[in-house]
Amino acid sequence: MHAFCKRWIKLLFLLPTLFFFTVYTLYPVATTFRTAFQYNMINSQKHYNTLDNFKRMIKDDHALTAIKNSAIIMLSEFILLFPLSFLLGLLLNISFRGSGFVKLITFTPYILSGVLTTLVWYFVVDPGMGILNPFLKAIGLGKLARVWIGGPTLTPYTVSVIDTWKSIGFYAVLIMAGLKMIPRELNEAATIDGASKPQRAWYLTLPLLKETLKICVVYIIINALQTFQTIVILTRGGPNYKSTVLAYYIYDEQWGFDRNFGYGAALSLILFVLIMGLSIGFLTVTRKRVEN
Amino acid sequence: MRKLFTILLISVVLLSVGAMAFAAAKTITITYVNFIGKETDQVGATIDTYMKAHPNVKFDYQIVDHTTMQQKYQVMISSNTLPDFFWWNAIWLSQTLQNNPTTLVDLTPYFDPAFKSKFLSGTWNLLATKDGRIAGFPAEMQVQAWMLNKSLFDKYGLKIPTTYEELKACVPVFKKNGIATIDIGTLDPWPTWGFYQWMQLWGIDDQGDDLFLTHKVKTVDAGYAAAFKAIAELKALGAFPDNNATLNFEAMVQMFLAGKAAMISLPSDQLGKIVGQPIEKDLVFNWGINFPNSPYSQKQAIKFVGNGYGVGGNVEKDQDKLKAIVDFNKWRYSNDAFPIALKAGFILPVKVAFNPSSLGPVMKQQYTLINDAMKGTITAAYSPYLRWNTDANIYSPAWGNPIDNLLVSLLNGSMTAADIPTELAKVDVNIDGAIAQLKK
Repeated sequence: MHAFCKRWIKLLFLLPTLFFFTVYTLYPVATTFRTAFQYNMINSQKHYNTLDNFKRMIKDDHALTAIKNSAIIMLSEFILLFPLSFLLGLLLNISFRGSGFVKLITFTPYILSGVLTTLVWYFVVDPGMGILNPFLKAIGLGKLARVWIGGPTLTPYTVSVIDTWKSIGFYAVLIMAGLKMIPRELNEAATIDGASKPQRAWYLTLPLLKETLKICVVYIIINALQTFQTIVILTRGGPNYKSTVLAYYIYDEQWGFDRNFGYGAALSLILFVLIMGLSIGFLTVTRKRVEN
Repeated sequence: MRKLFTILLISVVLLSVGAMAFAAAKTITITYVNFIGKETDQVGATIDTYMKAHPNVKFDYQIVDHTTMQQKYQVMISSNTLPDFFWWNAIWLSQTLQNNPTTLVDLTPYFDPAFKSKFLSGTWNLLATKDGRIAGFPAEMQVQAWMLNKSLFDKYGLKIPTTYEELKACVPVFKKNGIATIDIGTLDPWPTWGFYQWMQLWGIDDQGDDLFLTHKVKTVDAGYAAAFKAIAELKALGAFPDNNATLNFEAMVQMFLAGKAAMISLPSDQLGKIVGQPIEKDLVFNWGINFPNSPYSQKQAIKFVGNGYGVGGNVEKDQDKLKAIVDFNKWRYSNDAFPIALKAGFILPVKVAFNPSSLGPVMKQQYTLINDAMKGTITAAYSPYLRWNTDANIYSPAWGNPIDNLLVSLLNGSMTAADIPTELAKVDVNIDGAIAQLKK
């Protein structure tokens, strides 16, 4: 076929995707970027206010609390998810009787409705209606009973545990897939050469799994900073904004009583910068180390 | 020739009959949007009766979740696609007519003097724009009062409290028996109506000009600061459910219906949850306590029209539809239709010939409250709102949000009495900013 026709046909096939990408991704992002620099409230005359929204953010205690809680959730999930999903991935990589069932059980929380699973957790961890505190009291561990949600400090950690439970299957399957890509012959050769199991894991498995682990870290950063659903169902950011996270605070500013679209857009921009910055920064640093 | 004339005559007759039949058969479909079910909605309860009498008028009843509905309306205003007929908060209706006049029908021409005179005073406080244009058909007269479970008070040998001190005396007795004195859940931040009434009893409207126009009186020194102190004191005594920060409104109502709480603040539009329940016969619906130490009038109560029904701007292009909507609403406020809305739990803000003896216990008490001698006021939240030109963009960040946040935080214990002066001082800074904005 004529080269020009081939190129034209390729473009034609790309057009629908480009159209939807432009309308549903690029345009909203561009509009949000523009709105971040505006005074834009419901039923108001919009006008540009340069950096006023960002200046407000610096003095806004609730925004700083939201960023802090999002960071806590990200770090907690990293500490919990990373080793647990790695160990689970190793387990799933082994063939044993019932391994299919274990894989199913592990992956099920990830595919169930997030609203449903969070509601179930509500009836576990809520200090008034949940079963966790009465259970701890019943087994003589009443001293461990806490205000897991709805109190001033523990909500972000509780949310991390819940979100870890929900997504551990996903990361374990990613790691399992990565492990399956490591040639068996390398392990056999290392065994013949006298390497112990821990030595094989440290010097062989981990380095070859590096790219998969990098993807897991980036996913954890993105998902943790975008935590929203769990907070909406459990606490709505309360009491007194103490458990709010950045994604929920954005929603609250834009669709709560204030309906301040300008400030909400500015917060969205910050969230975007944080996610991109951390993800790209991590990938850049790890790539530099590999190159060195 | 004669044959041709006969054919022509028959054709004309047939065409005329066909046209009449077509006109008679023309169906008018009105899209109506609300967030509650048909049986517990005042419009929903009446449309079946109206449609039976007007077979060519059809209501397409659409229920949307409340939060989604509020969000959708904002988008619809931008695209001028508001529904034909829809429920909304009165302040948003009047704001929208003020700032986006083409998106809503101005209903002023349809309220002729005779029709308008039927309505009780206080109907138009929030439903009319600054220049008096009517933005919606009024919903029910809102009575924001207190529901008390008399059987619980009788069980523990307590009388129904009429003063703050009497209320405080009930708290330790109920607490000892695992009952919350005042039911409240703060996961949803809005069911705080009764506490706004306390601000009214502490003079927020009486001092309104000095608080919100001249700012001669600072919030921390204002009479209504005492309402927050009272709430903090009650929290410290254990009057509210523990861990209410994760209790939502539905769970809060269920708790009351289950007999786990002695009193709850409920407005008129939520009475559908109570009416018909086994507990109804034990309930006292009254204006709650007063504060004998307050220097302000205690003979004021919150009765006003807080919600309304708007008509989307596009309806003006279809005069038949607009006429049908106006006709339906004029009928709704008539002697015939008034009892139907009543059955659904709503008392419309109109003067009608009606005998309340047929009403159930709670509705009868509500009817009494609406028509009693207490001065009807709008809720305390509107005291600054109306003084600041009904501009929600000034009101919400300056007063609405911070005061709501303080109230909810005191109720769930995340703030205490010690935090009140600091938080009210922040409100004073906001008020200065609001006044400066108004002067621009």
